[in-house]
Amino acid sequence: MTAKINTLIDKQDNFEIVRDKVALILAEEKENQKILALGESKDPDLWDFNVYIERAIPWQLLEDSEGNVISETPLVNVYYDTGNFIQNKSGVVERQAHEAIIIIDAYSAKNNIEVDGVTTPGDLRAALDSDRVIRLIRNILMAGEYTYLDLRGIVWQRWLQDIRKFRPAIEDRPAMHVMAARLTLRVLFNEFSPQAIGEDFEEINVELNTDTGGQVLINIDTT
Amino acid sequence: MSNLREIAEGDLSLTLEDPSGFGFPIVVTDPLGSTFTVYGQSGDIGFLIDPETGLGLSGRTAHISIRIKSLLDAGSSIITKGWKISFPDINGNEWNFLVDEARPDRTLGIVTCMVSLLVSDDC
Repeated sequence: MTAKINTLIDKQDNFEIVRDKVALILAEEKENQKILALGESKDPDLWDFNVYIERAIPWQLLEDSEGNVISETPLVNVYYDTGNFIQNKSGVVERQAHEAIIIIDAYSAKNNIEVDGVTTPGDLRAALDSDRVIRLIRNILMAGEYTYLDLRGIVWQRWLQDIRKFRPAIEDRPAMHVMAARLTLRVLFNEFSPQAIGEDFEEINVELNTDTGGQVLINIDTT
Repeated sequence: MSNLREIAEGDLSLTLEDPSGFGFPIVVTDPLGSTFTVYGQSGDIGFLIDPETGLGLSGRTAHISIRIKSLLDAGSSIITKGWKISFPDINGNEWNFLVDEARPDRTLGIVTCMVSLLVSDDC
């Protein structure tokens, strides 16, 4: 048997594009929020978080190799989790309706801090901070401007499925407090597959004329 | 004649506190700001924090173990949640912590505390 697909498959599938688009939207909008915050004389750090895609190994969130605190900016990890293909919304030849779950995890790691003799616990700071990040993400992704995630023609619908908060296991007592929250985004969009490219079988040129009596005359050229 | 438990408690001066053994200086600060320096065991190691998302974070876990009698003899009371702790690492860097959980063992006379980093505006 010989292969029948004669074009190289080297483009992203739409699930990759949708995932990347979600991350891009978050990254762009949070930068804009920081600018807007500065314009209103507010602390832009309260609208800040770092965005990543498809990370799999543990984060080094808070401190460097010297043990110095490097940043308490929360981070967001966007990844494609699962996808279902809906047969009765698809075409058998070319198009598949893909319902994907895009997971957006927000991590906040905070130390206990002491300012002017008043101590604020790190677990409380981390929990409230992860709430803040999820708040921003929900507002951004569910804004009217992003009904189709800027991918109209590909995306049918996007919907926020749920939000879940995580806490470290009761037996864990880390020296740095981490809280995480997950926003699950369901996106319905089209995927397309390679199609056969037709070959010219026979070319026929037709010229239509009428004679002086109005009768339609056809000249056919098959050369 | 001392019973075995009392002997074991007395041995803590060697097993837990001896500076020529594994004993390290630990500064304990109570909520009123009174400080006490005692010798005990401290630990501060790398630890994978599991936020239960399927992805971990590289972090730390730190603890101290102090002889209760030494605390009381120094004029302190038994450590509880919220006290401040300070101890150096093996390279001499001083670290400040807050007690998250205190686990006094009044049978053997040791209090073990799980601590988390405290960042001060003095830093």
